Amino acid sequence: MLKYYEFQNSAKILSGEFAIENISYEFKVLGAKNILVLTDKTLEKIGIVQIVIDGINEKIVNVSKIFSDIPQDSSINVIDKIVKIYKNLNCDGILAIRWRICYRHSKRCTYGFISRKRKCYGTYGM
Amino acid sequence: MKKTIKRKINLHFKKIVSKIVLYFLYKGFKVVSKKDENVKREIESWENNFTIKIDIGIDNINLKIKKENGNLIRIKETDNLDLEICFKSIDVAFLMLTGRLGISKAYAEHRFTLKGDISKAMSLVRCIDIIEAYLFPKIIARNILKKIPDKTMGILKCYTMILFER
Repeated sequence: MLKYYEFQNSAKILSGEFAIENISYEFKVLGAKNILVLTDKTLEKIGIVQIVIDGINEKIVNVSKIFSDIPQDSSINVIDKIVKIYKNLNCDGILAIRWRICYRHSKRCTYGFISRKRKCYGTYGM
Repeated sequence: MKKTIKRKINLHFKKIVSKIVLYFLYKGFKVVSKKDENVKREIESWENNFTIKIDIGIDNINLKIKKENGNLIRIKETDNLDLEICFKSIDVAFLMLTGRLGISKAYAEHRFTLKGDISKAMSLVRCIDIIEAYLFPKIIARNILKKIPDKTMGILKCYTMILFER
């Protein structure tokens, strides 16, 4: 039988000038060192992802991979794909750029890791 | 995906400026502690071997000051820190060091983390406020300080003393 546990993935809002630059610190507090970035093709194309990458201090957190293959109406297969990449790259945190679908996916992945007793220290959505 | 060249140049510039300002902050500490009664009183309240670290959050650029026999000295390595101010990012540290963000506002906005005795930190903040009043022109100091303290010397005299201080 599955052991009982409660889980809350609460939100912390960082807003204002130099909020992006604080992401590295937030991951450091959570204990994450290798992170997986979830985003979509459009944001990568228009340069939003570049702004976030510019703000990350690579000496604190390492961006293992940027996964931008998330379509608008995504399925469970995409989540499985993300979980596989996450495990292969030995990541311990997820950064989701774009609120709706990417963040929802990152949360679903986190649930997946916890139920499989995998470590996921931080999930941040932008 | 790598950082853009613009951002790399920006970071490099900020690192250089931060190093210079930290140097002047340390020297300013030494000069003002001799000339200003308020700073002198605050420093006297710290116990001997009291060590402070101000870290700007990148590449180990920091300022470590130790009180030794009543004098303040800059040290490179230490194991026991009594007070540590660590900025979350260099961008915020740069704002504070260039006089665009006051230390009180930076604290209120959670721009840095503090380790150590908070009463000693308040004492340090009061010292930094006074030193900023000496180091920055009035037009800048007015924006970052609640009240400009009475100064015993002008900005030119202060910088001259900093440059020729041994």
